[in-house]
Amino acid sequence: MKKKLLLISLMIMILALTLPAVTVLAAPPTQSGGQDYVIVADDWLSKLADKFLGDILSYPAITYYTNQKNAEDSSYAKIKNSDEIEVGWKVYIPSKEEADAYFKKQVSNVGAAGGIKIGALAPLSAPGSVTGGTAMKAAFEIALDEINAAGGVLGKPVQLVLVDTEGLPERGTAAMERLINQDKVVGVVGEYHSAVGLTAKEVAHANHMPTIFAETWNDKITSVEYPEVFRIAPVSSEVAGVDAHFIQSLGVKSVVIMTENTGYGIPAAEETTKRLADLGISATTFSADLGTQEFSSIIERIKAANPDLILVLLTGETSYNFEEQAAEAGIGPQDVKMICNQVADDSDSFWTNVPDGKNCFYRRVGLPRALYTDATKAFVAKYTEKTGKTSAESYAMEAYDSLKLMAQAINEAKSTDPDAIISALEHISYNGALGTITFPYGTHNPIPAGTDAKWWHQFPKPAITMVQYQEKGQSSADAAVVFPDAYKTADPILP
Amino acid sequence: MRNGDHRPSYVIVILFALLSLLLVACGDVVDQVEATPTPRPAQTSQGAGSANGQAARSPTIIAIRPTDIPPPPPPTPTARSTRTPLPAGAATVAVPAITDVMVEIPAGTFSLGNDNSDPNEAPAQQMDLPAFKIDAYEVTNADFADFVQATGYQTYRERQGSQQNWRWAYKDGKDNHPVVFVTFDDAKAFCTWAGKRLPTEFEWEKAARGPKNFLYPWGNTYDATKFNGKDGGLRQTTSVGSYPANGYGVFDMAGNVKEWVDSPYLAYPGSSYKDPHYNASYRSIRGGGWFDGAKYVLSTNRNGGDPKITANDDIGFRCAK
Repeated sequence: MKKKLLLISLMIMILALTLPAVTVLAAPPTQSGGQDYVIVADDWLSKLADKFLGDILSYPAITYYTNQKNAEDSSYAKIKNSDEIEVGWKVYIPSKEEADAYFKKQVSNVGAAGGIKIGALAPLSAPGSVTGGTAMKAAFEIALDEINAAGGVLGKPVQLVLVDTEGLPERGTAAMERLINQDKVVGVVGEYHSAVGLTAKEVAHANHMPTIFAETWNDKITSVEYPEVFRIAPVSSEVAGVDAHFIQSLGVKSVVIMTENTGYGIPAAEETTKRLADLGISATTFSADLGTQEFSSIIERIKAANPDLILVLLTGETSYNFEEQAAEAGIGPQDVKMICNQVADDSDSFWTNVPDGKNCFYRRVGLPRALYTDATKAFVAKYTEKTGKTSAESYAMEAYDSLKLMAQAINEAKSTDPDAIISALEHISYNGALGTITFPYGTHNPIPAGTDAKWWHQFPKPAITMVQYQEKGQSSADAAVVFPDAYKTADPILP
Repeated sequence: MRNGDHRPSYVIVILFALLSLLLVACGDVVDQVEATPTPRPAQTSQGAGSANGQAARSPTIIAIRPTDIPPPPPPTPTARSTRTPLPAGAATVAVPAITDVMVEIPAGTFSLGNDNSDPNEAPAQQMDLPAFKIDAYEVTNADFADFVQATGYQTYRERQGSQQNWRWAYKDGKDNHPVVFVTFDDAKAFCTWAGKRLPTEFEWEKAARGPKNFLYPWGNTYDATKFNGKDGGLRQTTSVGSYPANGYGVFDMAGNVKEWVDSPYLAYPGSSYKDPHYNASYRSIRGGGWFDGAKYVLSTNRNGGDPKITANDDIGFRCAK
């Protein structure tokens, strides 16, 4: 045995002297990037973010990188909701540098540093509506230029901190927490997706942060009656009413609703179904996750249902996927009456993605062109010049107005105190791209008995019209207004 | 040194050879064995040789007396020479072990569980256990290196090709840090090789709470200075035995690393609580780690994970018998 050990020692010496890279005293392998981690029962992502990245608010970076890994290696988890993780999931913890790079990509600061900071939310990457978010970003920039050209707020320049929400509910929470706790903004504006607004509003309320939502339709955004939360987009249930009456005007008896499985899509489908039932119209709902790319199995089931009309409550680019695939399967807007998603108002993007979209109906929020105010015309002129588009989408107008509205409220409040800003918003009369915005009901004027709570801090008059692309490749500026009769410019073309 | 050129200096090689000769003189040699871990030769009383002629390690058994008698002074690890892990498959030499110290926990009842914390810890109840022995210290990197060197064992992470494995965490000077990045199966293989087993969840809690059934190893009040946890700010593992032992003479039953135990992660007897994570195939994890705070280092706190694939930077283990 002793001889054996001596032999081993000699072998080690020889190996150490002769082999160039085989190491006895090898340093630990260098670690590039972050590390893998397997979830145990008492984990949650913010705890891991605190542990590995030193900041509980960094957990979206774990979600992002894990999902990136999942796209290439299914042994990594696919995290749909950062609040719902499972024991045994393998996640990727990014390095601090990777996390910083992620957040740098997510947040852009516009305007001079050192001024008063206003936060903004918008989806700038998938699965959110990039088309919608990009339009909103351009509109924010126009509003910011105007605000600062006019002297800023309270005599100081405004800096806008824009955070990409990706259309994900958990990002709504994280983005709002970041804006409040890290960037120290005095107010928050924007957002496109209701699912994001629903979570973001909770953080706004918990932190008493004045917030104006631009394009989030879910009734509960306002019906919870939070003192801090205002909205200038229409209420989903009211939109459902417009949809139902338009559908009735077409003589339709059966409808398929293709909705997204989100805090916007599901309640919107339920409300529309109820409104249609009241009018004697039957509806069947199919749902899919936001970001779904393949709809063939659902389309086969829709064909089997043989509806008179298809109502698309998918948002953003997900709606494009469905609409074009439906057209290729023979149930597109030239085959069956179809109300497409309002993102179709970006005509360049729509025709690129849905070349068979002729005859699509879609909702347009905001004043009909015949009623454009000077403020609307001025914004549209700047927006079309900046973007090269032929018209301004409703969500662009809403984004523009939300920021200008917040700036006016701070100036009228003569303070960045949240209570003063909230009071200023409750009493405001702002003339913008959407018309004259007011908030009739709030703490200053409680909602009367018998009036729905959804009207709390709600702009009551966002105009809603139904328009139709009647020519292939048509500009949204030229799309025909087909409903209601008061704004009608042409009769609908029906398949 | 160029990147990738890790050849030891001649001085180190000579020291290595001298160390080998010293080991020969002591008669402490280790054969290389097959990759499949097999039980290590049974260890007997102090200093006694084993049947195959190897000099057995010397486990110290500390008998715990009744609670009204002060416990004996806790065992102290002897110094171990600093070393770094050998690459898999390299020729090996033995280095004296130091942490093979066990504490005997006497038979009898203890208070299991907690009605005032997470619902998975309830109901608090009296539990009677036979006597058992438990490692005074968490299994260290050096301990695990002995095992790997003796058996050629590869951990789950190594088999997966992950750079982040126990060797990666075993940096210079970390001989006496607890081994991490090991799965339950890896831990079990080690204990089997050592002629031991993993403790059950009940055994672990009894050993952690000490003879006076404290909620923490040191008492019933949280004290961040008594363990390596989040509030201590170290943010990494530390040498085992760096903090005071509990009344049984067991170290690090709070913090440093969470520890695998050999019990399914299920509801306690008499509990109607349905933790969505309960799963008979999962194994419990106890004690909290270097980034856990007050609630998670309670001796009653329960955690669970997938025993096949969970190997993180804050999970280790100790053995029992």
